[in-house]
Amino acid sequence: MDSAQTVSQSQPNFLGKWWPVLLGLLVLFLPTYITLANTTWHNDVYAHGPIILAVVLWQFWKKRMDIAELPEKPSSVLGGSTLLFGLLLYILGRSQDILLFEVGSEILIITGTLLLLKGTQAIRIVWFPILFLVFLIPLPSFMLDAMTGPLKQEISIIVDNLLYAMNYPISRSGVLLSIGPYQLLIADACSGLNSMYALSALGILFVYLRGRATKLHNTLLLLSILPIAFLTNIVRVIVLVLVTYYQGDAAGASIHDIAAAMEFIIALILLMAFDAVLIMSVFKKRNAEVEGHD
Amino acid sequence: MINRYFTIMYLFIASFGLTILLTPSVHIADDKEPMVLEDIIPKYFGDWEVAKDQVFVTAPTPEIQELQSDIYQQVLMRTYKNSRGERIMLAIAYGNDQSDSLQAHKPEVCYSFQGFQILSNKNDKLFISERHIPVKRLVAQKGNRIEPITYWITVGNTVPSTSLQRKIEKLKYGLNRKIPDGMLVRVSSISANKNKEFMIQEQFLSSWIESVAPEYKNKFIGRGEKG
Repeated sequence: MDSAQTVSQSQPNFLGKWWPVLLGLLVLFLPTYITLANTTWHNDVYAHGPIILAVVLWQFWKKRMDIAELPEKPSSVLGGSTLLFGLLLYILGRSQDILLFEVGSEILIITGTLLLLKGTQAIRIVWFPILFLVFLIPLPSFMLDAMTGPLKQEISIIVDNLLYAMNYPISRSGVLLSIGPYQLLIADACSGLNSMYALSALGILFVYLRGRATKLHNTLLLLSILPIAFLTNIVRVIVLVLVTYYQGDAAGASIHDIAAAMEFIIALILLMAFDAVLIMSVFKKRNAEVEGHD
Repeated sequence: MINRYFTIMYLFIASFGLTILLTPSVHIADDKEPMVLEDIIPKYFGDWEVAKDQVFVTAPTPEIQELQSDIYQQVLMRTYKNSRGERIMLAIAYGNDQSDSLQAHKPEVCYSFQGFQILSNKNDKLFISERHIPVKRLVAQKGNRIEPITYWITVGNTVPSTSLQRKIEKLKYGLNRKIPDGMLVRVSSISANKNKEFMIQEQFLSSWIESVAPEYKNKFIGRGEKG
């Protein structure tokens, strides 16, 4: 809020006009974020929630003057109905403790408000932070369970096959790996769903901020995010299995958290490396061509 | 145009106010005498009696154990045996608010937490006390210990079969501004012969539910409209 005040002195017209809307949003969603901070964000899958929120706020704030300067061409019907539907979802979600609706309503409420006040042009300016809000929506647990199980299974099979091919004494029953004298359970956390979710968010942010010239380049980057997350997660599980095999259970357990952080950083580096390769190999020429055609 | 900005603010604040008005605040458990699981569940019934030794798999949150004396959050754990030497472990977790603390008692969660592997997880139906009760049948394993488990979760006076239906039942209460209580009833036994154990568990449960005073029956197995 401090920074908001300093900015408002130099550009008084933004906060001067928009403060009722911002205050209204605060009334609606501050309690929601307090709930999230006390519950969902403690869950590893959504631990990146505060970062997502910070990115969203930063992106909206960055574009605030662009929106303030737009002419007011409201789409009243579309905006009004979107807003009302959003508010209904919010009321139902917050009063009945359905976070999916409560947090999801934010997308509709913000979209509806912008349409009502400025029109479709405003959505074009802030489509990214609006879409990015999707990553704040907690998925229903049955959806998470439906994804976690098969992922765990798949990762157990791949790790088992790879290490077996490298002549390690490994065997598998379900998601339980036995290597030498040790047994390792591929837990929910090892499914990589956490990292896939967080990496998807950060990967999409990276692609957006980079904003490569061609659609194909951006699409390839986006498509590479999940495979990269999947591969780095396999590497992480293999590292954990091998550290346990050579150093014992205690060592394996102690690097568990560090391995998760490393995985994240390595995945981001891989994404940037893939971006660099694309620039150097294919799109150096392609960018020029596309510009010529346009 | 400036009044649109204010209109939207009023709309937001009104929505928030409406949300507060609609938020459930009445615990249905408060309508009745508080039930104390220790007293309601008999220690002897039919051919069964409480055995001394207990080998329980418990929830991952030890603080819930400490709340046992609290009538709003209770956990009852007993092992029963019969004249043939068969043993059944009965675990009941009760909350006056169908909330996350019951989730912690879900066998999928607490067995996995204790290093068990869930070998199978199936939906099934029990027929006890002339009611069909949707249950989950699990088989958990840790080393040599194989443990077939039967459990269900109640919301108020209903037994929804899936987590989505649980949400819907909770919503039905919630839209009337009521907070349903909830219970997790779990029986398990240690044996590799899961079909036989599931049968013994069903016999145990039908004998057990008949021993519970009629006014509490609905709390444990639902009103059973669908039965």
